[in-house]
Amino acid sequence: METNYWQNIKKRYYFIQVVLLIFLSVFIFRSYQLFFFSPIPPIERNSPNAVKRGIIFDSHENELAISREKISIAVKPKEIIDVDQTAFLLSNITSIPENDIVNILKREDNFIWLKHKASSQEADDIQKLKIPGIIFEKEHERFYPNHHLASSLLGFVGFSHEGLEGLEYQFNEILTQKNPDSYSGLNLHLTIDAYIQHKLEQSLNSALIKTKGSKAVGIISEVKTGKILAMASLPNYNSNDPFSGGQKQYKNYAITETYEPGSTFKIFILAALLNELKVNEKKKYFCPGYFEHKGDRVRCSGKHGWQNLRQAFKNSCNSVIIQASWVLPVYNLYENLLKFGFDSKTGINLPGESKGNLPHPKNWGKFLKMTIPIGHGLSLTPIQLIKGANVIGNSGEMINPYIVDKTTSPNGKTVEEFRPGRGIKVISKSDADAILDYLRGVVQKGGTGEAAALGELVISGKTGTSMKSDNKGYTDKVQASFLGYFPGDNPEISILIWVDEPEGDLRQGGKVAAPVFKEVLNEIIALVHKGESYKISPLKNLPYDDLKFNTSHMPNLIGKSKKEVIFILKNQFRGSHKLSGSGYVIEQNPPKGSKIKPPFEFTVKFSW
Amino acid sequence: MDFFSWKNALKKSHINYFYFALILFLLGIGLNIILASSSFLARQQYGDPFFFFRKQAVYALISVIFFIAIVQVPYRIWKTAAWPLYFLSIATLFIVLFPPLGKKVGGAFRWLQFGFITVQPSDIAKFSVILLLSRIFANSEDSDAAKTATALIIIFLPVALIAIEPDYGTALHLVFASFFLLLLTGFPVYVMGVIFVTLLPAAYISVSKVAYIWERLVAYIDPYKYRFERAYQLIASYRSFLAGGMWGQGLGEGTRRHNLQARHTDFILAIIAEDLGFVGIVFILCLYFFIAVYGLHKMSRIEDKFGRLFGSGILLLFITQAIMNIAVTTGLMPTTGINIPLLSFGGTSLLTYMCSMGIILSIMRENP
Repeated sequence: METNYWQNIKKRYYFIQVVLLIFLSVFIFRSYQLFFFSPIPPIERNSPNAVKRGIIFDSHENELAISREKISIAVKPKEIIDVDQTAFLLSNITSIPENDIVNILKREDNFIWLKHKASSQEADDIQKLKIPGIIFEKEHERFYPNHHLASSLLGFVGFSHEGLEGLEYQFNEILTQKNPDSYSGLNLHLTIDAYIQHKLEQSLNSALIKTKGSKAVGIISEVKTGKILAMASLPNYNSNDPFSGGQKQYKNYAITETYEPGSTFKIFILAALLNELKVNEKKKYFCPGYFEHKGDRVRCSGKHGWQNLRQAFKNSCNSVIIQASWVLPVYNLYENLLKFGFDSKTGINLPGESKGNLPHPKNWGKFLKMTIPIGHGLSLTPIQLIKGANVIGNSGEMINPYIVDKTTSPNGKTVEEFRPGRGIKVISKSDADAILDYLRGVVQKGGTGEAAALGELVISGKTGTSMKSDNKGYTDKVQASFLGYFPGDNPEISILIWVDEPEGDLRQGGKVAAPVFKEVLNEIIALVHKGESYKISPLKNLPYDDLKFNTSHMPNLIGKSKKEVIFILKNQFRGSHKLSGSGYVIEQNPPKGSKIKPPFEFTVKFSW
Repeated sequence: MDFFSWKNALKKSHINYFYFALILFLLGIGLNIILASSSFLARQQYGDPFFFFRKQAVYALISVIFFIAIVQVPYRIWKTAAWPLYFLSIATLFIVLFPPLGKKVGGAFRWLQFGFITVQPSDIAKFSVILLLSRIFANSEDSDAAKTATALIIIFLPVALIAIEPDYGTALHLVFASFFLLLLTGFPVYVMGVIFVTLLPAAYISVSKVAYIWERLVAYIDPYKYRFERAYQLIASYRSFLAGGMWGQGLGEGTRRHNLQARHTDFILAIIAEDLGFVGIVFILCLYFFIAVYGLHKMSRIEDKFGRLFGSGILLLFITQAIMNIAVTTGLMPTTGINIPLLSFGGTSLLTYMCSMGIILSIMRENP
């Protein structure tokens, strides 16, 4: 009896031990599976989908890029009971060809996406059918409310929501930074002003069309702070749909394109001459229409005759400026130019910045000694030029340009600020003021930049028309540019306009770029000018609660902002609407008051 | 038992130093993992990366002192404490349901607050049920029918109270462990079969009535569908396994953990997966099962019925809790909120398990 009992007990112990070992092997097998054959679908493995990408704001907290929730539809083929019936129903709703759906449903996988970012109507309809094996997933969709606006700056995101270009790429980690308290990444606040950006792009675009140029760049910056208020690079694309229309160029030319600056570079030659005390205001030089040195000639834009240096700047006379620079030893000139940072990147927080090439004097030879003073034989990016130009506008102090102001957490607290430190003194204030004084002449009557003049306003600037070279030498293609300061005597902003390969008779900087400067300045002056009492009424908060309409009649949308319209349509008139442009409503269809019923289909046209 | 016989017992002591070291080793691993898993959260929430680690280290130190002391104590004195301890735990399980005595955490009353110390009565209840069952079945004078009835009531009462809190995970754990222990008492197999069959409808009713169990069950069956909501933790755990690979990313190096909420408590195994990889996980799993299987092997040879049952019961509590936790972390079982003994963050759990392990060693010492 006693031994029987013990044998029985021993058996039970063995039983439990065996059960435990079975558990152990199941767990080891299961972890093996999780480690090496994870149930997480491959496409999802590295995607930051669960984190909602942070918002990109302009300087007035207007949204430039947002993430919104969408519903995506997936199928689990193994759970589908009636393949043909399911395919028929899904095809009707999603308008995916029935055959394609049948093929998907017959696959052996556990989980296949059927349609990403379906419309809420589609999702609702499918949900109502209650078909087994259909899965609905919330996904985030990146949306750029202004479509093309600042696209080369913002960039875009890829299929699994990762930044591929521009700020989206550069700040991908910050925008998707995981945060235990919320599933949103950090927000990015730019120094860009959406309105100024829009005006700049608009003017550049029409200039590009008018001059048949191949590309254009515009940069507007605050000279005293280094803030970039607008940075445009054309042709651009729609960030919401970057892949349509075949292969595209997504470059931000303002920071990637190196070019020979041409006459705008004369500003820095003048700075060098002033710094080395080599300027004699009274001295007159003779321009025969060229500059000749040991049998080699550099052409001038005309026979300017006798001029002093000031007049030479007004005429952008190559001959005289080379003559004036001739007194300066090349190493001396080189050192003075280096101080403006032309040998290094500006360090602006954008991806893919290039740097130009300022050759060392030992490689200058007789040619570069003639051409460097007129901005040829060296190259710069537009942002490098603006950084150097801002030294002159900022009383001789150099500040790094910046475009990302700060990051904030989803609840609005500032996380990090990116403001540059104090400037470095590069030239004296008196020299800087003297240069501005020279440049004022350029924009006055008879100057090469007179097309930039705007009423009685004080403007300083310099035109540039650079010859384009290919690997054989200079071609007959040009690059037209204008660099201007406003106000000209005590600058607040600087604007650089650059058009590549304009065609036709009027190809000079003064004819192509200076008018764009004037046009843009005219549009934004009220926003940027702090010296006078232009009144700008701030955007009032939208009275969302008041935006309730009778859904049986078409509401009057004319004059409403895009934000309001989207709010109204989303809340009360769901359907497939066509919205084009941005800004305020100028046209609507159906007309107001006409009878309507769901599903709604409105066409709304906005001012820009 | 007077002082001198204690001294004699000590003299003949056969402490199983191998087992002793194994327990301390596991505890040490646990502390390391807690530091690795919690420092990020701790810095964010308390501005001190060592916040959780320090708390756990203090408990670990106290636990080790208790552990070493309890190894020296003759285990039979626990037999006398069986009934009082049982009533005490029933009383505390009852009290915990009434605020403000009971502290509500996450919608359930599971904690009692004594000053700055919080105690989970269910931790003590599980221990006392095992103790009392061992005592009753060690007593050969009672009739089998009376024992069976008493045993079932003894198990049912705390299980019901724990379920009311509600803490279904712990209730299930207690049922699971006592079931195995009954098997080792020599309980007739057919009676166990009957009990099992009668429990099934009860389980079904409770599952279908309680929304949150149902939700967890649905999330368990198809976690991917609910990966942004209910199954968020589980999918985060899967991602940690995926990130770990064969050798892991190195202790404290993984980054997937930032998605895990209960990273230093219930899902600490996912952290091990990410940091130490498949190799690390297999090692930890083997360590747990070795402690249990080897311990049960030693227990099966003990002639003293109380010692054998009590030791086996403790080991069963230990391993079934580990099993439940591993099953949850690897998605083999719905989320239960059960942590893993000796590894997870949590003071009372650590203290009770270290004391229990002290008792195991004490039983081994006296029955060499």
